[in-house]
Amino acid sequence: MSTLTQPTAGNAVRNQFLRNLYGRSGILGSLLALQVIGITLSFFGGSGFGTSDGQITINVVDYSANPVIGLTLLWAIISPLYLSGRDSLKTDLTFPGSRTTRHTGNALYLTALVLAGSLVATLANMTSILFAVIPDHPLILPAGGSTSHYVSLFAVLTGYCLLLAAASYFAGTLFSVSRIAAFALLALVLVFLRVTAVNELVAAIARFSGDGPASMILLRCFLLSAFFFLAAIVAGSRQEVRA
Amino acid sequence: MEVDFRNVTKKYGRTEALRELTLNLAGDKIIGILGRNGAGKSSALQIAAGHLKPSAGDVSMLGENPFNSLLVSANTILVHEGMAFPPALRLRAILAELERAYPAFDKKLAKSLLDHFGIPDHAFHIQLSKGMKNTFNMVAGIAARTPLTMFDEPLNGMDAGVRSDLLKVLLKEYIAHPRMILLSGHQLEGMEELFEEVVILHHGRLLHHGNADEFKEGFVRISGPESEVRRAASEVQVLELHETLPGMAEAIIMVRPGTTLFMNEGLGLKSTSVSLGDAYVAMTRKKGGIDRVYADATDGR
Repeated sequence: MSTLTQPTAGNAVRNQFLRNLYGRSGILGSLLALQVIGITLSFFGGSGFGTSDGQITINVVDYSANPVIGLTLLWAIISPLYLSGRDSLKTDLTFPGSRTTRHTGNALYLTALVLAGSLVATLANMTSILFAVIPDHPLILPAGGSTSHYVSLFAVLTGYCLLLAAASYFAGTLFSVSRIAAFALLALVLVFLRVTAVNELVAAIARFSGDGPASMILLRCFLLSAFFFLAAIVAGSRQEVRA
Repeated sequence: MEVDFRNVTKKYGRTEALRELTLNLAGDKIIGILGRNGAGKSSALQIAAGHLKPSAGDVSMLGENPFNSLLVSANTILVHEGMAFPPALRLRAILAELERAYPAFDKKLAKSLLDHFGIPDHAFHIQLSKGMKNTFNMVAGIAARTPLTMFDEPLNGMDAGVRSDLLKVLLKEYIAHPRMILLSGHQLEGMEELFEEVVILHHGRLLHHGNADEFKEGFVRISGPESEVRRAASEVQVLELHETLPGMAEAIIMVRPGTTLFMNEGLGLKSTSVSLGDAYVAMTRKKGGIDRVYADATDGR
């Protein structure tokens, strides 16, 4: 006589998280690779200009962690599309779990990676000043540099990365559930943009998530991200995959 | 363990894979799910595993609808050719993952079987040949020891030795750890001896469900001179009749339970038993078979 297993949702979420961590190392690997590229670009500096009056030549090189931040944001848009795709679902269906535990595990995994990615980008920002010191050139230190400045940067970057990752995860889920629904939503957004004008919409989003102290930005982004992840759970709860 | 389909229909666009299927499977048994290509076998198994949801009707397992059920998912495994594993994991890591996911998973057994079949555990699943992939998948399904274990066309691409060994292991495992095992397929070489029950699907409908031996006993093959075969066949229900050699013929006939078939061996007629595979193929074959199709297509040329 076979014995039934009584699974718990918590255990299924944990297994999903760990399976992502070990079995989808490409997601973490792509984050690391992009950040290494970003740090390398930061090291060589960029966006500089030069001027000369015949006697003195001035070359200004801007050392900043902007490439790291930009590439981290890019990663936050792209990698959730892979995690929410049909191939990932097909793999997940080999193991015990429901659609809800799967999406919850994925959301926690993305959140963890976003935290790690934002931390690395913030640390890169802190150390980018050192890059300028190494070549032994005259240095103009940027404004800020206090602990609170970096804490704010970390909070804002985490918030925006999480928001992008959640929106991308929702879009990926919707697209793999129903391409018609995904295109309909996109068309609706475009119509909405035309009706309300781009600037007003962007301003409205900025007022909600981009205004005020860093902690408020993080909180608002977190709320919006939770909304997108919940929407992905709802949209993905009827998701099928044919063998 | 009980799997219950009630008036289940499954549509893919305009194509109906299952049509009002009503079927109850119960007990720790090895059950054969048979049918031709497109009969609806895979759809039925995927619905039972919770991978697909029915377009109409109800499915119940462990008192729940399998679709999106954590309980059903934890007590079920569906082994099929398209089974996917995390791409970054080597086979040994996949076994560790399966051990974490399925509490009854026997990793030692799985490793020993992989060693026996010469599948290196440091390889990636994607690197394996079709036969090796299916062997690995089947080993994973056997070792998972879930109360409901389903194999959809499990032996595709395997060589004869591996097929035979895996079926022996499956039987040993079933005896040591009884569970409900559903085996679907249309090439039954070596599998049919395992079946306690058979389910035959045809065009998405249930054609037959019952004891496997009783089903087989309902069919007889008669062969001999064509005129004698035709005369004998005229008195019974014939599923298939075709010429074998010039002047000779063979027929598969269906015998009602309790009926005794008298054959006059002096006329050169011989009767033999019919394999399960031949029986269900004869049962689901179009009238006239491929001979009629070819004759009609080439008529007058």
